[in-house]
Amino acid sequence: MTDSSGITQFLRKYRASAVGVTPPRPELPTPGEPDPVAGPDLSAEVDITDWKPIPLPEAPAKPDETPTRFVDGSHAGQSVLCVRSPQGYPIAIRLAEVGAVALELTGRRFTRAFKAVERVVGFVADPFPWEEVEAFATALANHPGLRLRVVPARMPEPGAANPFDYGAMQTQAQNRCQQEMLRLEALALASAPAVPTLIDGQLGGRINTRDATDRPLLVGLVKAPTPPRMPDTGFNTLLDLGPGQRSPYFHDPRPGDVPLASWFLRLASGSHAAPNWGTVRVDVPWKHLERHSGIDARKGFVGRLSRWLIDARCRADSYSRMPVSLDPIVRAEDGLKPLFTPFPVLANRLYRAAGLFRRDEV
Amino acid sequence: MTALGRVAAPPEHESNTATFYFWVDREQAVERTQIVRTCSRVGNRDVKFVGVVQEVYRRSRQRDIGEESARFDSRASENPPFASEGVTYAEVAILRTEPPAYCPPLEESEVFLGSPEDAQLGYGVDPNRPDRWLPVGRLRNGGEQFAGTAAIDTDFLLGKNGGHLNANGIAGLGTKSTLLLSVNWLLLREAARQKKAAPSGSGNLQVVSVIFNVKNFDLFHIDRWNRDYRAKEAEHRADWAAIGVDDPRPFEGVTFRAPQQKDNTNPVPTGGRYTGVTAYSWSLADVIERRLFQYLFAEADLGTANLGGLVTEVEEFLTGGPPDSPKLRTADDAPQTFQALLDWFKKMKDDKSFFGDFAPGTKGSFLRRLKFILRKSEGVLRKDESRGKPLDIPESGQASPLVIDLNGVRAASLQRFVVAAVFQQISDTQERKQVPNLKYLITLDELNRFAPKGSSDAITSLIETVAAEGRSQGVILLGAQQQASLVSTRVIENAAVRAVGRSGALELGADVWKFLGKSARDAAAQLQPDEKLLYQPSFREPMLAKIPFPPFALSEGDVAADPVPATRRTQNEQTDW
Repeated sequence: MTDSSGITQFLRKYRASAVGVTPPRPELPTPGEPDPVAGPDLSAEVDITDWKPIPLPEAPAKPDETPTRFVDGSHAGQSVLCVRSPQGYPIAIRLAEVGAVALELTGRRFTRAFKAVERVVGFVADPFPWEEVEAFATALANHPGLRLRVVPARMPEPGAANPFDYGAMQTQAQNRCQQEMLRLEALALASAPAVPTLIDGQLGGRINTRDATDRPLLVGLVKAPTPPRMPDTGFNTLLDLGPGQRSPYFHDPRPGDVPLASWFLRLASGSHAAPNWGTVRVDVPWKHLERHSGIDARKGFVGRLSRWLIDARCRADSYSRMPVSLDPIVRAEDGLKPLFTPFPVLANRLYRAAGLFRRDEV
Repeated sequence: MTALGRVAAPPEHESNTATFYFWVDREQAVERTQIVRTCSRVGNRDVKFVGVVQEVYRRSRQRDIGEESARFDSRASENPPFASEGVTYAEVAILRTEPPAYCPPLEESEVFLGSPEDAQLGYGVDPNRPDRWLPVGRLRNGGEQFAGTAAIDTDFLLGKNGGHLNANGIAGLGTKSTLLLSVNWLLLREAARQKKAAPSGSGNLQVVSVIFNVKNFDLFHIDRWNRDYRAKEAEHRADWAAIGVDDPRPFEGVTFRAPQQKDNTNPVPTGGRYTGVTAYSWSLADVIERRLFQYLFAEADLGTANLGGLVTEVEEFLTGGPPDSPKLRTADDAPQTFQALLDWFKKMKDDKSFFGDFAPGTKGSFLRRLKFILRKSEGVLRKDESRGKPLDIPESGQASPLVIDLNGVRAASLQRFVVAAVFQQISDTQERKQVPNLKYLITLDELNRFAPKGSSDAITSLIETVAAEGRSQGVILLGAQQQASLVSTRVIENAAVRAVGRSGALELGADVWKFLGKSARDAAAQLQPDEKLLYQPSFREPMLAKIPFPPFALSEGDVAADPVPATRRTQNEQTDW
């Protein structure tokens, strides 16, 4: 009989857990102290050296402390053409549909309160004569089957990428299209400033400080957060988070952007969940936290909001990002994606308009 | 008007020329049986689609039962912060398109609740031909609403494009009789209306309504108010008013006929009806003159060629006079009564020259059958009398129905004989002198008893012939049974109009119901007592009708305390409708 006690002993001692395949997650920064000037203050609630997972209270959130409007965006596209600039650079032309949606919660039901969808074509336009770019854009906009808006991207910064690198040109086009999606999300956000709102993604870059501060409640939920640079105690805390536990909140001053109060929250675990899966970052404007005077009041607010987020988590196993998603955001996606045109239809129309249909059908 | 939803055509729910699906607005409710309409631009024209909701489905947003449970953390007392908000969608059978188009509606087309006008379009009711359509009920539009009237195309009912009405339904609900008698009542009323509007009109509908009573003496009270009707008269009158009848009331001037008693001239006791009933019976002379002799013998008797041949030869021997006006033979000492026939045959059967083509055994069989029939006939066949009181069916339109009792005839073979006698007489009358627009409405329940499936006897054949060819002679069979699968297929298949009441699931699985789709068969198993699915060849799907409650009593127990009608009108007296 084989003696497995050695295996058991080792694995038990070092807190073994079964893990399965995990979606790619952002790379962690190396451990260390954050930038003392621009970096976050990790000891706003608890000294970073004393960080431990914090169980959430059972107390329900107060009515004005929970979001009732949920904003999500979507960007579906790919590079469908490649042209050569006068200089010979391979320029990727990305065809995409971008959109944003806002759901409002009344009672226990959602209503789509805002929707916007646009078809865009993104490519690095700098190397081309501007009048030719304008003529091309006008033709795409007026084509009855396409109605595409050209969103010109900039050349990569000199020295940052080789202009003959097709991949770099693709990235520029993709980022430019993504900007359009963020713009639509910002529109969705701006359309109801008086309603407590949660947005799928980070708050940074979407709203200015004053607007964010004036809102009754604004929450950003980042599904794939990149933690700040922090000491080992911080990373250990993130790995130790169990479902329904949060990290201490910290203050991220973000010069030039909305100062935030942020914390990490483990929405779900489950069998074979990797230690870095199921954790999201929650952002709220720091000013919102300052409405609560005293550390206990602030802890109470963060705890109640976190409890509400746990209750609102997605529980559908069939949804691939279930462990890091909220039910309202999944619903928002459901309300947005059907508005998009199936991508092959759009691409084939572009090919037909370009005279490339027969040989390059998608 | 707010849309109910929009057409959807995702994989597995594609639209086609017969069916489409639509998802339902979350503020709206859609029910099976509702009439809906949608409009799509197909090619270069706008096409309107009218359909009926076949089924309504609800789908949650979860993929499986595990996810449904997970929303509640598997605890029923849990209350998730957000509603499930699934989707309700409906399957629609397309009834008609305008203009005619063999194409499906396009996805995202708005779907609206249908109006009575949409229902008319869907079922092909021509609003410019109201005289052609006979409203018999209210067309269901969901559980509580109606979309106008449910009407039968008289071109299909009364013989122009088809004929006959067949009703099916389980026993005990009384709704088959309600429908058949209501159709009689409405057609009598329509005939009277036409006569009043144009007293000399050559194209006026004329109706002779013959109703067979097959159970107790239930239909011997149709000239009396129904007490349940009286109890909720306002409600029931509203239903009648909705189909254009402002004065629903019992039949008037009804003629009741019941079998004659054995030893006197009176009819058998007919339950609670003590007056106004006339006896009927046949002597041998009546039977020969009316060419009914073969109908005395059932299938088992005529099943063998020998006995069938002997019956024919005996009939030929007994028949004299010209072919179009047969008489009982008086020459050659031919017997003049049934008893004389029995005695004569008994005495002569051993003579080899007496019907010499037949073996003694065959003659013995004939004699035994004849004795049996006469013994069972009680007073219906007059053994010793030269004349009986045969049923005489009028040869012109009548204002009131004739009710003939079969219940008092105990032997099933004699019941079949009575039915055959009526059919034969009508057939002879119509062959001899066909009156345009004269329609004989023969109402007969328990068709499985008179024309059973697989039978080939003379009476079944006669009813089959009526079903197949009677419409051209103005003979319209309003038949009913509990199980159409037990009735001659020719009789059922030749009924252009079919009415299906609540029927058993096993029965609905029979081949005879294949003309109904699955949804209609499912619906037929769940119908309310006052509901019927009506089908005729011009309908793509049956219409669900609420049949108004009858003002006339359908059994002695139904009779209201109102005064009994004082006098019986004569057959030709005009009833004031």
